[in-house]
Amino acid sequence: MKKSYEQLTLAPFCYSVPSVGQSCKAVIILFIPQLVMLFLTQSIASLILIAIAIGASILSDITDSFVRNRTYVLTSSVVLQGMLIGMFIPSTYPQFKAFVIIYMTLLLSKYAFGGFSQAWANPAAVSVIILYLFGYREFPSFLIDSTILQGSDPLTKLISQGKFQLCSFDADVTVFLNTKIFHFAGIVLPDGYVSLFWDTGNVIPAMRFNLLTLLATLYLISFNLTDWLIPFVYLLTYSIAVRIFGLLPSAGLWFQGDILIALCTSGTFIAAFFILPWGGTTPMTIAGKCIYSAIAGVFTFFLNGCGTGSIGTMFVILIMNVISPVIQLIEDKIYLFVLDKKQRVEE
Amino acid sequence: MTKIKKLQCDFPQYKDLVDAYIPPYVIIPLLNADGVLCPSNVMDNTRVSEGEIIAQKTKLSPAIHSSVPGIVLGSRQISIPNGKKTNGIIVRTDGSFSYLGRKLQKNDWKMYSPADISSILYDMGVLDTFEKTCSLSSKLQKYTEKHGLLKNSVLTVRLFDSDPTVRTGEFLSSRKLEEIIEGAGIIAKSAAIGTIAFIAASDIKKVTEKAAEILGSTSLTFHVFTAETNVYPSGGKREIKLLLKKNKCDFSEILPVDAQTAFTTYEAVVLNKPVLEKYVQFSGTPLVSEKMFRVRIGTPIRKLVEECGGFRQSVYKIVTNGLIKGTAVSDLDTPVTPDLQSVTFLPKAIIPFQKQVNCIRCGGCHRVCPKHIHADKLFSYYYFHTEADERILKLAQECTLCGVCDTACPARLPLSQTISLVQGGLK
Repeated sequence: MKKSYEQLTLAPFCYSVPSVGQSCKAVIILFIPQLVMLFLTQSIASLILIAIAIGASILSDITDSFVRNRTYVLTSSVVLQGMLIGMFIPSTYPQFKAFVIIYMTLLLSKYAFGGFSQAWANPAAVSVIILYLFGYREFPSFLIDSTILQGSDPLTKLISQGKFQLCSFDADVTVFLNTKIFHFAGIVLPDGYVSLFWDTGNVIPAMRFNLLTLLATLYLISFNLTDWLIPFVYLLTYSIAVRIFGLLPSAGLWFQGDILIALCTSGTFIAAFFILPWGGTTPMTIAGKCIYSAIAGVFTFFLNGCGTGSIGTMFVILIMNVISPVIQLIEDKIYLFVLDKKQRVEE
Repeated sequence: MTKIKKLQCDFPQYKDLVDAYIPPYVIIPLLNADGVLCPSNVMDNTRVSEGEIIAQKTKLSPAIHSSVPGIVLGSRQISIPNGKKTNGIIVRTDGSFSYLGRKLQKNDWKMYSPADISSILYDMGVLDTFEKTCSLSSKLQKYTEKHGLLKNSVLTVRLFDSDPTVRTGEFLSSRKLEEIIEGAGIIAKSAAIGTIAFIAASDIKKVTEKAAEILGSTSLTFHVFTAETNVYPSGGKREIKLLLKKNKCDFSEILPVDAQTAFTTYEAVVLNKPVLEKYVQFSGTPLVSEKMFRVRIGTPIRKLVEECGGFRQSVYKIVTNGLIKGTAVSDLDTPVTPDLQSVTFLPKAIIPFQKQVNCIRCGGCHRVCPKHIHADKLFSYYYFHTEADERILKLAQECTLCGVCDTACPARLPLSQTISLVQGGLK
């Protein structure tokens, strides 16, 4: 108690929102089940790459502090940034190469823009894109092609072509869900959707455990630990686009696109909840955020199509980082216009 | 504005008033209501009576009284609840009380002129605690100098606290409503205002009945309004103005006071009693029991903690005057002062993360600000010397420093404090 008496702090002593540190720590903790799942599924290479990405992120932060002659303090945002990068690296990616690229990208980003939330471009997205540019062969190509999109059940075709592996318990759980739950609503769940949510088996960890990601985001939104508006509008726009136009180019069918495949096979959930709303890169008004995320949703449809894209989402985020300052400029102009109008009324 | 249920803290409720024990000694700060350090009028080892003036700068400045009868032991530097340090006189309690336990004769305030009332308020050391603490006399003087000729003005009396974590004003209003109404009448007379508006959190029927009963015999007219207290800010001057406007009561100027000010005015003018006591809320999970005290000015908060049964868990911070705009104090020997409304003890487990990071441009401060001020832009203007539009800087002057932007900042930036610096720099 005596120790704390030596410290004086500024008001307030209660807040309506959690701090950035609290949110980052919560996200890190909620990613632990995914790491455990990687371990249990013997994806040791992915775990090593995630550790390498975290290490590179911390080391770049230490180097930056050293160069700027500051005392180094480890922050949770640095760990989270590394973890997010690691989640988007294919397990086959050369580890040393990954370390060097991530370290250099983050260091240059810090040197050019400053620390957390100072960069206009999302450092995690930029790092993954540079990893892709230097090793695009390691990133899986699209599984869904125009032949699969000829009909309205692309997942069954993916399974039959051996492009998508089912979990061992997929059939049993599907039968259980169809007979005990969906039966009452008259819905029949085809095989494969359980695996789509539980483990897609992708070489990129961010595209694997969708159910765990959704549960984590549910917790974060319930406790106000993350922004829900941007992910919600983004996922909604992308889903609508996929549903309406998904099968239009190849099969000429409207309203037949498969939303679940699109959302579960491109790391869309993790990107939507943890990378797209990254501090410092989004507009500030509610309208601006909605426009930002809706445009992102449309771009995702153009770059990722009906899913299984491994890098499209990261390019979308980079494009949005370029568009975001324009939206913010418009926001400022509108604000000043309203202010002017108000001051004229008062005068 | 932000909904108060969103604030991550407890909102205590109190049923009973606890008269705190008379302390064995009191430490009375020599800083008067206007924040001026006053020279002591008493020598060491001399006897003082309860309510005796022990310090006063000039005759026309707020006086400081001894809250207990006793012997002056000396003076020393002390910490006070607003976080500052000042000199204080230590009085050991001894002898008989002049006010405590005696039936005080009531004066007819309607016989007094505004000048008489003003003089009494100075002598009795009455404070205005509506926003920034100052002497009520000085506030009334400034008001009459500026708006004295305005006929269409109103005295507003807030019957609750502006900080939702403080319940002292609401508690006092429920217990001493008649006195508060009469005190409001006195202030209105002193400021030559013909209308009083009572702003209540609830139970406006009771306020209306009592006000009709007490003010019926005067020329004063009154209104009673309910404030929307489930949001913050709701009790500031701006919010009260908006409330009046919403209720189609368009006054050119308002003079706002709070329940505590009206009550001490009543005691000073009607009972001729100086400010010797204070209603103070003691709350926080580390306390064995939370209490609403009526306590002597100068009582060290340590003594009141003992009356609460002590601590059941270790305390990490002691916060005075509410969790939104309050101050962290570092000493349990900090005395109760006339401007103290509440003391909150926070354990480590519920201390919010206050580590400051760079602005994450979430726009939270824009959305909650009732004046639509862009606090983040003013922050970077002040600290990073970025360019800010003149209109944004002009708007900063309208900030009431309610601190709602601080509560909505995930980066934990001291936004309202910075706006106050910007305001100072531009004046």
